[in-house]
Amino acid sequence: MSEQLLKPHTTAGTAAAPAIELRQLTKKYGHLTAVLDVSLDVPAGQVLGLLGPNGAGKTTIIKMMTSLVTPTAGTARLGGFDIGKQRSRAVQQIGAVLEGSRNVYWSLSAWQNLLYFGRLKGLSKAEIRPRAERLLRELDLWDRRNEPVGGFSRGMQQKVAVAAALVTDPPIVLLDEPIIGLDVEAARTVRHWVRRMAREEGKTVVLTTHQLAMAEELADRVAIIRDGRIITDLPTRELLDHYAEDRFEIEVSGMTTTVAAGLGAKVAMESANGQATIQLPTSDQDALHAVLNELHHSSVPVLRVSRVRPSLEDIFVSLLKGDVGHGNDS
Amino acid sequence: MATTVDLPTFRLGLRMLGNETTKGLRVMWVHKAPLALGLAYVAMLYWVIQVFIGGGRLVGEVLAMTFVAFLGYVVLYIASLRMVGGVLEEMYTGTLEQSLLSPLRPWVASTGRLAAALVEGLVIAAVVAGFNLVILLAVRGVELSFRWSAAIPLAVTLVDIAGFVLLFGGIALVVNSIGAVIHVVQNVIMMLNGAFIPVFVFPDWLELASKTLIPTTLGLDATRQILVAGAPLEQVWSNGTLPWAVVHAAVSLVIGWAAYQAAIRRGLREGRLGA
Repeated sequence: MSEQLLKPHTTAGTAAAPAIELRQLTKKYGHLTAVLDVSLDVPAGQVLGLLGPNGAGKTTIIKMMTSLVTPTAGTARLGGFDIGKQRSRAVQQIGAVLEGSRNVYWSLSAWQNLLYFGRLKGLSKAEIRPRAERLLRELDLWDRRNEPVGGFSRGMQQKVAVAAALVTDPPIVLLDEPIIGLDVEAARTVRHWVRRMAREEGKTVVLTTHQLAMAEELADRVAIIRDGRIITDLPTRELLDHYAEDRFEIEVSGMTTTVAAGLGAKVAMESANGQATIQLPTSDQDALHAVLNELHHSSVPVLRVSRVRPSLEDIFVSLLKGDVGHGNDS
Repeated sequence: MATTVDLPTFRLGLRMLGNETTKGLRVMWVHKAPLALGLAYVAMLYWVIQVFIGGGRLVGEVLAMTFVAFLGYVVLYIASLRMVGGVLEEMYTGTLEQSLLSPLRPWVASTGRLAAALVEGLVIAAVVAGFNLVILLAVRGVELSFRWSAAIPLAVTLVDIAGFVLLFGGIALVVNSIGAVIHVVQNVIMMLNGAFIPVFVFPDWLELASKTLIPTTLGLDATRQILVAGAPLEQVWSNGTLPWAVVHAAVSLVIGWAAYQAAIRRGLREGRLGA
């Protein structure tokens, strides 16, 4: 694999300054290193999927970007403003939905929340009102705008959190696990909004999620974090193309150990409930023919032969297990 | 494009201060049922203890001397409870972090939070004052005359309370189990700040301790001298009560402020301000 492909994606050499620049961002809690030397450039309008297992450091990175956690070392610039030195300007560039948090006041109404969070960023009521109305109408919350958020369903509460993050129309949106705990319908709405923010409104979105299908669907680029370090950072398509070598899958029934032994060690096989799935790399046509011949001679019924493209989830799991190489730990 | 706010910092600060105070009062209004219970509790507490102190009857002289001190305690009680409760609730729910995502420094948000807590305390104290005045009018021997000069020691007392409230708000940010401690501290203050017995009847050592360590005691003693004993402001100043009250309030505010800001900084460093 190419070393170049595994390095953090940057916009060095391009004219436009990146919307988000992280440089050697590090956070240590005593002896525990939560994030180590994370450097990223996110161009304006890009959706970055930040993936990693629990405790990998995703939320800490988001919180350092929002100044809610002070970095031990390194810098974060949002819209060109250093969050440490120009916090006031930098904070105006972002809207954030944080993980494991209500994000909004449940005892207040949706309307009061939007007024509060708009004013929190320094806007006047006159500026907030039309935006709040548009957001609440588009999120189907307008008719219930004066009800306390605490009485809403989880999905509606999350919609209010998204609306509160967007009420100042920030160019950068940070979404930490935005669909966790949501039902299918609510998750679909949030996904729609993320897509819309990026595609139609040109916002830069950083999205952390465990829903890899969501990242695959929405993210232009994926950075995978493990133990506080970025182990892979590639455009999503490139990541899929690079790691996701297509494979043949042959589904058979009535596989015996004798036949399986005859297929050779190069063949990967999983079996369950009397059926087996044989996997072969697409680059090895000879092996495919050999396996099919062996199955034919052994009178093993073939149920299906297909060419399969691994999902981001397959790649993610493989990367975390270390099944596939990654090279930018240095 | 983002809306970039170019308001002068002072004006922006005022807007955000108002925003934080309005939010606090709205949340207070939503929680009006427990608030009403708290109100009934503090109002009744005063009368029950006064009857106890009076050996089964209300003593007009003691009522006159403790009336304002008790109201001072009510402000401290409600404001500190709202501050500590609000900080803890917002930490657990994550809104504390969201409220810090503001162009202004965290101290503006904390000032707004403090202002909301004090306004809430003052509103409750005003209601209690109205209720207590009705009963006071029915009790013989209560001599209490209003004098504008009393506003000065009362303002000093409010600053003293602000410092105490900030101190415990800061402690709540670091020690999440502060809820139990605050009730004990509030009870000690109630017994020693003159809310039930004027401090001059205490033994000397206890009077000194309460004036030195207990917030509101000096300011409320100065207020008592003006409203009950009819002392002019100059006398309260020259006998040292008011100057020491000012020093106490200033020290309290500085300590409270420093403790709260240090707690915020520590929270940001340790990532402890969120859910």
